[in-house]
Amino acid sequence: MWNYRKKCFANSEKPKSEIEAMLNSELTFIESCLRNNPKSYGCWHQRCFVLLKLKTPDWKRELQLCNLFLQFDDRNFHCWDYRRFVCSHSNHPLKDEIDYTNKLIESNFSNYSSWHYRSKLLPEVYPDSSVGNKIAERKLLEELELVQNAFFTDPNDQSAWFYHKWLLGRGHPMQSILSLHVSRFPSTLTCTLRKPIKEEDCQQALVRVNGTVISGKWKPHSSACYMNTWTFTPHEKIGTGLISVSCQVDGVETQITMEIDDNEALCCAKNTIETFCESSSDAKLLVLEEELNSCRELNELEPDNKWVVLTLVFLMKAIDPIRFFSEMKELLKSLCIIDSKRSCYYQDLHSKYAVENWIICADLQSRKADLRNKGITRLCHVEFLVGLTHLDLSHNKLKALGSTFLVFPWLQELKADDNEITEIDGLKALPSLITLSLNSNGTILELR
Amino acid sequence: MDEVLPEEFDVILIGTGLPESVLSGALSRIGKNVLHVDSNEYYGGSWASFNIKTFDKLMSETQMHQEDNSNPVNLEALISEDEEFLLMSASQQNLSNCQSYCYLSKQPDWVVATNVVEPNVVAEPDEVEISDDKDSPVDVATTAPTMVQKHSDTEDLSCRDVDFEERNNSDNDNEKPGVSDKQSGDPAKEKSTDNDSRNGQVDAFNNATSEEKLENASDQSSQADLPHKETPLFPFYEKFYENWRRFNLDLSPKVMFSRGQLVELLIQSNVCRYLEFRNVTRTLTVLSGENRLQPVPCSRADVFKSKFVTVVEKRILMRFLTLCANFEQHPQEYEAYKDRPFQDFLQSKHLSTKVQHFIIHSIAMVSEQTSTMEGLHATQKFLKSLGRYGSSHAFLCPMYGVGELPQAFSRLSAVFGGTFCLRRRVIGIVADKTSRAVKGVIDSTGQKIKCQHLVLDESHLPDICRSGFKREVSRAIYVTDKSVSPSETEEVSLITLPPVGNFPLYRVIEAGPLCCLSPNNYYVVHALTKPSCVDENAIVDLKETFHSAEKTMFAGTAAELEIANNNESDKQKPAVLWAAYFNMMSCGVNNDSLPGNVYVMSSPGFELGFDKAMNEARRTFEIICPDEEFLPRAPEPEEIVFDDEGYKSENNGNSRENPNEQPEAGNGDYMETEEDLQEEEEPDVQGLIDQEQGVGDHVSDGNGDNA
Repeated sequence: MWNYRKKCFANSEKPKSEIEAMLNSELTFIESCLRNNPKSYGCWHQRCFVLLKLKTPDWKRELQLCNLFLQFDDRNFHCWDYRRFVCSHSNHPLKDEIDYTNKLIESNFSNYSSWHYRSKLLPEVYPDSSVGNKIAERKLLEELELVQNAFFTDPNDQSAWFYHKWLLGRGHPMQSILSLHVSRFPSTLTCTLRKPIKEEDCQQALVRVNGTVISGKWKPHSSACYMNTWTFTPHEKIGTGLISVSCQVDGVETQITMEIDDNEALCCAKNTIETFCESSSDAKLLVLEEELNSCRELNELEPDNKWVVLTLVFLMKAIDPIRFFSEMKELLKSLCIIDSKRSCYYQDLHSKYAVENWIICADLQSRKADLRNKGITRLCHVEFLVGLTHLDLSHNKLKALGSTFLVFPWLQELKADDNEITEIDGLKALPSLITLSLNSNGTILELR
Repeated sequence: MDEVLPEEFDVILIGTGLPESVLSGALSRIGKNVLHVDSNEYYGGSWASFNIKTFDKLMSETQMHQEDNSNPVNLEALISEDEEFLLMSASQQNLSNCQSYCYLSKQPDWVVATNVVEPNVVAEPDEVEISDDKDSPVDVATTAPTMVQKHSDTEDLSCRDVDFEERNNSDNDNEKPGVSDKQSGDPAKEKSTDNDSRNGQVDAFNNATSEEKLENASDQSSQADLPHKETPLFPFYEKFYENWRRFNLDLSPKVMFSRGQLVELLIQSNVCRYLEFRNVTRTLTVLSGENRLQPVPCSRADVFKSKFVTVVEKRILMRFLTLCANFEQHPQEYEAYKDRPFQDFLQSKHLSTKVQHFIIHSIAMVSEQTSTMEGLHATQKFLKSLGRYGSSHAFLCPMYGVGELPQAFSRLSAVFGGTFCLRRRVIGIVADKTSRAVKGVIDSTGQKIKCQHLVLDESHLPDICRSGFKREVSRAIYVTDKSVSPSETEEVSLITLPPVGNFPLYRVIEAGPLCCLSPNNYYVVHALTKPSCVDENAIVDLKETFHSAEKTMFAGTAAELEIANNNESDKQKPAVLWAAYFNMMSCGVNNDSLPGNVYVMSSPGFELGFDKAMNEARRTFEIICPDEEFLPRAPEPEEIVFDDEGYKSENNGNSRENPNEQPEAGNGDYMETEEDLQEEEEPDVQGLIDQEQGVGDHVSDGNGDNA
């Protein structure tokens, strides 16, 4: 029905002024419809359509309309969407919008929508000057305090915890080349990136051998659209002798030198704590430590609140994931009991932290990984592990060696004794695999 | 009002206070034949609200004996041999120690630009005192304002509508130049007003005895040198009284618990359609050792917002409040403290001193020594009310003052055929000698009216039924120039000032134009306290009683501040422009001497809410009509078939009523929120029209007056 109306407007041959008047009356009509059903997708979309048609839309009035509807239902996400639409098309200062979310949060902080809107606005209004962080630190600390008030007031309210998690979380990691592998025979160059890229982006990449750009063909490691690992096959074979290969892709570049006698070479990026966490200034660390202490207090008051415990884990992770690791492990273990329905999530979380910590400390250049006895249920961050030749995953809680294992082109030895593995689909695409050990596992269901 | 009333009624009610009015409405509603009389010329008795001039007058008159100018009644002719006559108390005095002060200066010469008078008088800050203690030969306050009244009466009628419109546009009409234009339009009249008031003022000055005034006098000379002060700090006396009708000052300020009995009753009976309400938007208190008002975190949102408690305190407070909300289900939590003071219980829950203070004084509103059970119940009552209307508000207050409530119930009574008669005094009760049951009353016109039941308010008790007479509540009312704790939007505040040293606990309600209690830019502050003095005959200086509260809330009086012009210290706090002090009296009831079918309704008392009064009315109703429903829903005017004179007239009167104000049964949506008012002009206008009628009612025949 709305589409029919839209067509009428689009195809009308009436003079412009008349159409303008019609559009205005349409707005009034939509408003009356919305009063009846404030959660109708169609109505809100129609309103967007009409406003874009209008020559001089009255954005101020639209904002007031949003205010009105949000006053009656402050969680009407249709209206929040529309509000974002209005703000993006008008020059309404975003700072005012932050103040508006302030007001709504003050009156009722159990409101995902306003917290979420905030998380969209803050990075734009208070961008961080340094790289990698979401919002300026000064503002971040203020926000931490605000949200702390909320979850202390009502620790059972999830919205505040989620916002807190967002605050602690990092911005998008910067693109970087995690590892670069070159081999003479067969002549290939394999590049693993932090963030997956599309084929088009990859075709733009430049490979230089001793400074000369060479042409060739990029192939993804599997058929997915976005991939971390790409293999380059040059049209002409890579020559012998001491060569220096550089690869420039998606705005980042790395270089590798191959000795005369070597058939292949691997270069891995150095990893630090910052690889997986946002960097923290001393001031921020101080605030986080304080928050950690008050959360510990809160945990004493509310021993069975999963959000408190989970946030403790997040805080520790943000402060120092290595120092707090054993404590985090214990907390996650207790979470599995408090919130047994989500025990797998907590175990996976633990696995992730365990692998991260290993990556931070490990020497990836050695191409051997010892991940025994880590209690991991899932192997994550495999993009960091692409270059491995030996991987020992014994004495863990892995259930499957699934498609994540498709990424090890050079893996020769895989040990996964004493796990709970019932599925080994991922193994069929390990081209270099020589030794496989799967003692003391569940019944392998099938190998397709 | 001397017309002859019918001979016989089912129930006669004397006094139009809230419980009597509720009862009257309830009885009429189920078809009882009701006569409701009041010797006053206004509705409400001790529950009434007045405009500021009437209030001044009340303060000055109440100590005088009411003159009984009616003809002596020949009792012998009216009372038969088997009847006895109980004389009503001649002085039905429920106010004492009344004083009112205006701290504003008169408009000086250069503003109105007329004839020259001695400049020292002109610039003098005027303090008018109306008190019988001072034996003043001229009643200053009543002469001066009356002149203003005469002057403005005609004008008021013509420009009333304009005024209301101005108000809707939220214009600040106090600053409107239009008003002064109107004045200068009639110079002759103005001159005389000016002269008269000035003469009055001189008298006031001559009569001044207090030290304060002598200080003023010494300051005079310096002020006289500066007759042209550029911007006076405060509005002039005349300006202040210009809007005298916009003030609604309660004798007994109270707020309604959102889940209290009165609210339920208003919804259930549909009486709410006669009324409008506002939320009490914040609760304030003063922590011991501090001199600053602080918001009390009550609701979740408040706790979240509060910057005065740490996050851990917040958690503990929230936990405690959650427990209180349904404490019955967790007996193990408080079992051990059942008979111990509430404070011990709070202590055991690790609440900090600050949070304990909030709970005891502002949430439960009890004292440290209250038992745990009582404290828990009080906290629960508060929490239940919280959030019913607006997420963080627990109380409602009626717009235009508490005096609207008895009027609304009286109106219901009148709609259902109750007979109302103001300014009709009952001189005594006629009772059967043998059965001791009341058979009727005799009024001041000498008419004997029979009844089956008689309901009295406390102040109308026959002398022989009284036991003791005491001060029940000490009151102060202030009109200030700004809120005690200014904020972005206008607030309605409930303030508790806990006892400090020798000073008692004060409960304070502050409201302003939002509740239509005062004109724009003025605030009304009501303070209540229990009289500390046990000796009933001792003369209490009420100013002294409220000294501590005043020090906390106000910068000082306008007169004081005008002198200390350059003192920047307390710019944040408001100045007192006008103040009144009085005691509310109450008397005990000697039940033995009271006939069985006589029911006495108590005075408003110190209670913050209305539950006591509502219980009393309900209980009495159940005795009089054991098997009837108490205030069933009254139909809307349009639901009534036009077959009855009474209904018809009421319907006409109501035709302007806005449908948006109609309640939806049960869910209490009847309350108008602030936002509604801003959006739609209709209800506001309607409200003011209602108010207009309401004001008229105080003096003329009431809207519900069928007599």
